[in-house]
Amino acid sequence: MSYACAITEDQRDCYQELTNVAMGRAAERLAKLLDTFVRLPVPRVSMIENSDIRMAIQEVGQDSSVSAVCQGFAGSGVVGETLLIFKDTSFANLADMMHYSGPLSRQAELELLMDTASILIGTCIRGIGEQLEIDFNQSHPVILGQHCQTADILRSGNSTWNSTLAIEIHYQLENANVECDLLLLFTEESVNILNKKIDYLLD
Amino acid sequence: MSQTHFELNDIHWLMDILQDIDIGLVVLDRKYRVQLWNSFMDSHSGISPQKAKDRDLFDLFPDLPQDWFRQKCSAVYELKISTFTIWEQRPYLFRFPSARPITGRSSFMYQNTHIIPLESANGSVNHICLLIYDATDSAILHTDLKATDKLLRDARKRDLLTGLLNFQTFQAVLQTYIQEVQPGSTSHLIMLDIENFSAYNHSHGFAAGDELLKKIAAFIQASTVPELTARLSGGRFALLMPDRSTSECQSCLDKIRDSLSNSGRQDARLSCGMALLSPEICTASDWLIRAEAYLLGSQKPDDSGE
Repeated sequence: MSYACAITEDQRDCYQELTNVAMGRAAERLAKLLDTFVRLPVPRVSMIENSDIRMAIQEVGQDSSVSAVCQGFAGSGVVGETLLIFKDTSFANLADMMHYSGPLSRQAELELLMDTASILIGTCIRGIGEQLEIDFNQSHPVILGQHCQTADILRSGNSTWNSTLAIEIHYQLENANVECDLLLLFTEESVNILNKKIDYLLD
Repeated sequence: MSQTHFELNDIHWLMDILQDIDIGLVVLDRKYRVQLWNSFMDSHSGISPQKAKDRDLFDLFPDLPQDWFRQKCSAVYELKISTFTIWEQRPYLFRFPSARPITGRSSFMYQNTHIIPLESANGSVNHICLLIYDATDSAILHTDLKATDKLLRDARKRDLLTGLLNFQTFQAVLQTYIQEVQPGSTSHLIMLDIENFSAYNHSHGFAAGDELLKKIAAFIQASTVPELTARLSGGRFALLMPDRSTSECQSCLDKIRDSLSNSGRQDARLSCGMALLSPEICTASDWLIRAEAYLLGSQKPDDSGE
């Protein structure tokens, strides 16, 4: 399979390391807020074709219902989007940990989703930006769906991109049934710029 | 010297832009006292920057939910991250009238907000900045889209003429009911048919036929749970009667027939078949076929009797 842009093994390792540092910071902040330990796996770095993005997202939900929020970011010509996908079963525990009172309505879940998104997305993007000396601007978050199937998150048709650099981070909280996936997706044009920066770091 | 002059000019421009930009800008200190208030905030709130300066935000806007807002801001202070709120969470932070009061179709301004930490020279965060975006247009469009979506979904489920469920939807309703009903419940399926409907159409015209269908549909809906009634085809209707005895179903039928004859359409008659849900009935088709058999059986003696 050939891509208009590709990443070498070394570059992949470097992306992984950058993400490790950034998501470590994000997890630290989340842990501070929730007063719990956040387990961090190795982030998955890969080039994904347009036709495969659904599969990548579907793996996250694995036929349970999910809620998702996305947020665009841009800086120094690097453009991308973050997707935060929560398993809906996570919210009850999350509400306890964040000391939300009252019944867990859709509205309360939306608050939880937005609060965690601010922390995870914001910190992660800033963390990566700092290491690459890019000042990322974040656009306003958009709700992609609440209590939906992962297949419904991405509407089919009229997508204008061919392939994307995807970095997938699966967050899990220790001793709590809270699971979410953070996907960082960079456009093809951005990958070329990023690769140059990464090569500079590698040298 | 000329360099400094240029930079000062820059700052002047920047200040003008910040004043006039179509985004609300508010700087707050740790005690939620207003430190900066741009002209967007001035214009929409009617509170001038002079009046707002150093005032407690919660005094200026008593409607602002304090706990909620403090919680959002504390994340910005403590974690030094920006945070966002969107109109879906809360339609607005500050109740401002809509920027398009006449054609905007909303009396207030929907708002998205972005709260950012302002670091001082020593790296500590003692101030935060609120950016208020007018999101009314997208909120209204979103609401419209949802309404249209619901309308379309609903239309696909219904018979266009009468508004009752269509055959396919009713069949699905029946199937779900059969699968989920408690064993031993007395539930009936009633099938109604306008006798000689094609003759009625021929003698009165199709428009009158349609009117008759609408009338009967309205009587049916009024007699029971509207969401369990359907027009199957032509002049044929069906009613699912959960946990209703034969006599209860009979009185429901009487109600429909009475309404029909009281409406001055003595020449239209309804024949009926009623089938009790029994253990042999496994599918929606089974039940429909049985009710139809009773319906066809009822038509013959009736026809010959009168």
